[in-house]
Amino acid sequence: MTAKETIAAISTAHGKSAIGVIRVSGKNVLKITKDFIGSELKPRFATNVKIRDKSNTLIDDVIVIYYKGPSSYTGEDMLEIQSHGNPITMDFILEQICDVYARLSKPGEFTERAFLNNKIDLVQAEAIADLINASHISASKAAMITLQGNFSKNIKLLIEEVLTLRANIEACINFPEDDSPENSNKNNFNAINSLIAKLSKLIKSVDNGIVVNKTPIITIIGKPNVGKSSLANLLLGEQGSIVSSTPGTTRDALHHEVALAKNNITIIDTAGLRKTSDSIELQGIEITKKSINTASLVLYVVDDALGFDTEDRALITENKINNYWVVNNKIDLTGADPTMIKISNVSHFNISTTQNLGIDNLKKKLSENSVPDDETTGTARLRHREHLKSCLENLYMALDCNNNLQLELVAEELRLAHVSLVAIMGGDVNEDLLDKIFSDFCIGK
Amino acid sequence: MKKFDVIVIGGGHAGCEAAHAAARANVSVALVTMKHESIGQMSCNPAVGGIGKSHLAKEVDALDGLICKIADYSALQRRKLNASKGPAVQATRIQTCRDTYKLKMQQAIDAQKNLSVMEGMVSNIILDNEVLRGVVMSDGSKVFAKTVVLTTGTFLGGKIHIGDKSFSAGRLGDNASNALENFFKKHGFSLGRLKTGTPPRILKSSIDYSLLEEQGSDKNKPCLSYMHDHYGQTPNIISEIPCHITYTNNETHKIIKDNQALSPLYNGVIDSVGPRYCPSIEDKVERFYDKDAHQVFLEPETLSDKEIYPNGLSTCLPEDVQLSFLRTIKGLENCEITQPGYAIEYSYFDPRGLTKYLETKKIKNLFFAGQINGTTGYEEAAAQGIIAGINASCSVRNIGMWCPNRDQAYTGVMIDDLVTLGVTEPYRMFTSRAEHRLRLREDNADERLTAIGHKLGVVSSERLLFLKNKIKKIKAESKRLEEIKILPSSKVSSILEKKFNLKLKNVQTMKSLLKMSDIEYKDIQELESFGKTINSDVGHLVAIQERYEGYLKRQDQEVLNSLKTQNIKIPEQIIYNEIKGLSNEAKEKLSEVMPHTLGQASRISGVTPAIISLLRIYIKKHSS
Repeated sequence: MTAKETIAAISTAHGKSAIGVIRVSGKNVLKITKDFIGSELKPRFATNVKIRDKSNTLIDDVIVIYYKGPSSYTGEDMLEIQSHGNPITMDFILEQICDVYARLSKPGEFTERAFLNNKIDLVQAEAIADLINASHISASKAAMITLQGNFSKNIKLLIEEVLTLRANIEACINFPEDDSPENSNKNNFNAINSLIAKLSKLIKSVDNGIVVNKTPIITIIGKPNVGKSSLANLLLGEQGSIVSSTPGTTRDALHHEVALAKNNITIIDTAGLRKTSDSIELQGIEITKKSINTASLVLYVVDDALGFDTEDRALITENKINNYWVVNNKIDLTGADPTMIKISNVSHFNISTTQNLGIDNLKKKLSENSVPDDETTGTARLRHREHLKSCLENLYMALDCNNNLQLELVAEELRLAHVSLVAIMGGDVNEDLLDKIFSDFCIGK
Repeated sequence: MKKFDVIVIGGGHAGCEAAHAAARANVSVALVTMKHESIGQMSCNPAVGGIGKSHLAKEVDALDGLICKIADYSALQRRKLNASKGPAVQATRIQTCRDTYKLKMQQAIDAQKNLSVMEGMVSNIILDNEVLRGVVMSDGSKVFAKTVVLTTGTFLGGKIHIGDKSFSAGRLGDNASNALENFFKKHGFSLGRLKTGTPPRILKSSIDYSLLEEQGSDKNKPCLSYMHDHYGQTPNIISEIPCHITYTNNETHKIIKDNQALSPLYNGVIDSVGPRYCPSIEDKVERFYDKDAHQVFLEPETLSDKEIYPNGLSTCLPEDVQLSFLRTIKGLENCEITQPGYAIEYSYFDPRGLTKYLETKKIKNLFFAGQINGTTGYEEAAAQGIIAGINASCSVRNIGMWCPNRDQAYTGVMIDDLVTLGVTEPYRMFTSRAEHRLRLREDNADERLTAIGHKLGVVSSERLLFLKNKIKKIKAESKRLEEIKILPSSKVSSILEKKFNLKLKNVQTMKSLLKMSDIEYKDIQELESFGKTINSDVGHLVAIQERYEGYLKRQDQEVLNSLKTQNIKIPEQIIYNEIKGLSNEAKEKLSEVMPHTLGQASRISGVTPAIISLLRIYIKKHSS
């Protein structure tokens, strides 16, 4: 049995690494090699290929290996692309492939195909059940992370808007003799255009959100001039924030991505928290508070000479910070040892940013603390992008049909657009629609 | 001793189709009903068809069923709905004379060979070591059969409400229905409660029509049956009677609001669920308080035209309140009520207890169809009836049972919804329920189903010939139009530009012109190069195919992509508890529904693609 669709996925664990592997399986593999490489590949030989974007800029230098079915893991034609292990590059390559030739694979699908093509035996298959389920759980967990905050709010708003428009059109189609709503070509035109504008903006934000969305976030906070930016710079290993001894120098939250022992971490350096009337500084403090909300861990920096005082404790409670470490900086001035102790289950690190004391220990603990990310976070985001894109296509088609006064075809395109959005957020397409119709319009001849 | 292949209990819309279809399939059938004269009774509004419903009715007709033919014979008013909205969502509706409908239905049943009508009540079902053997009548006599189709509508626990009065009402005597109810309870069938209502009936001579809007038939008087609509047969018809339209007003609404506490819907007496798409006037006034008027259709009931059915005014207020609010409505100032409106509560069987062949999962060879499965409407009942009748006959003949898929028929959509999701309100068909709406049209139910029906033995060879002839004509005309080329520089091209603002860039064919949304078959008929054809009667069908061709191709691809997984059969003996990796919730839901295929399983709420992958692997593993 050969599956119809070609599937693709990033197969290596997520995060920066020397190389990453993208696997493709299915009948379009030959087409992909033809388009990417321009010549036929000899099975099981490694070939060096340059991958470029549409404007011919070099994206990556990769190795590709072609496995001719049935002599492959899945039993189908397969392609293995070994790129550099930069998540952005890998996403780019995967997107190129999924835009034209393939779709993202479902959890465990490569293994499933291998089984269905009799490449692995029943004993091995026993294990697959657990595997698929496990990856499904982490996939949905990953989806949840991505779906928190603005992204899911925007999708919900889009669904609501599609639903309102569909309810109007479907009420006209299904209940033409009832007191059904006004439906004009012009209203449909406006509503579809508004959807297209919002969706396009959302797709852009998904494309831009690559880095921040995927990595654990560590936010550094504290009172002004305790050395937050200096700490950030040490962790980054380069000059990131402007460092000065004037309190309130960092007014924006500065994002930096850093690799600590193979795991990507985003470090956010923030404005110091204090009572102030300076409007620009107040803005900075607002941004700091937001950064606290997105953080997976907060590093609370204090001046060791002053210690962790009641004001600090109040700031922690006030901002509802649950997961934090205290960092006592400037021990070079107090003469304390660069050690780590736990006080009522909170870690306290003694460091000096100027003398580079205790920094390595902090880095080590940060690295251990950041849970290795897996493939699924990234694929969840790509899956969303795929659904959003097909939704956009349907909306453009709907606009066309509306111009041609073909209401039943507008309705069909909107149904498909709705299905795509619901695939991201969940929900019942039919039942939600009927609910909306019956709550908005008085039906019942 | 009386012995049959199939016993159908109930002579309503489901029962008639079930009995007639089984008899057409050449097995012996007994239709058991209380009274011969109540066969084919229209107990709700006197109309057949409408959006979504005519689609179902035409599918029954495509399987050579009765409902469309009988409706055509008893038409008082015939209309095409959504005529301006594209062929896939157009529908036909016929206002019928109740008396004629019933009479013609009885004649059709009486004339059918292999089919006998037995008057009487069924009080029990005979099981012999879990094997169905027949039924016991209320007089104690036994009737034996291999299969039984139960189509008894609202017979279980029917209760009527008018104001503070309420009384039991079922067409069967209480004793008999209690005994039957006990049988099903004993065998663990799960029952639920639903509610529906009807408007009061009005004496026609008491209505003043002088100021009301009249609504007659459409010019081209559409028919429901393919025999009359596409195959050129002429139905026997009766005289037409128009409908009229009037509206409620603020005074009407005030009376209804002031008396709300007297309605059992609002004072807590009725707590079962009614249909959202058919609210009582009490509900309309309460929920849509900002509307100054609600539409009322005054529909003729019979040819003798003595009573009027005011569609849109379902109510269970006390009779005197009904009269006083009616008299505030234009044209009804002096009206008289001949029968008050009421609400009826009734029990239904959870349709998730059925296979998609409408056979009960608990008792083999026992089938349920119609309102007892939680649906509403004659068309919904008829469509289930014909499927149950066909499958009962299949079981007798020892051939495989059949149910159309979701991309094959509205009937398939309905049955899949029922047996997969169950019901929370009386189930009615809407075209929005069908994801293949552009394919499942009024003009092609015969192309989708008639040949299958012939194979199953319920469609006559004569009828199949009609279909083949239609398809032949469509193909010929389609081919002919494809061969007529139109050059961008031609005279025809300049006419097109003038008339439709269409500038041809490349060579087009006469057929491809039909893709344009504003060009109809009659438009191209006027073009000079159109030529001569003997198939102009199917021209509009060619145009419809052309309009949806691209869409259907896209859907075909989608169907094909998902078909492999969708159609994988789940073995009946599967034990979900034994499948490693399934969540408890998934195990519970799957065990309850027991889906036939992976496609059906995927439509159960909460069943994720990962669960489907798991099932697929499990099935593959255990089938080899």
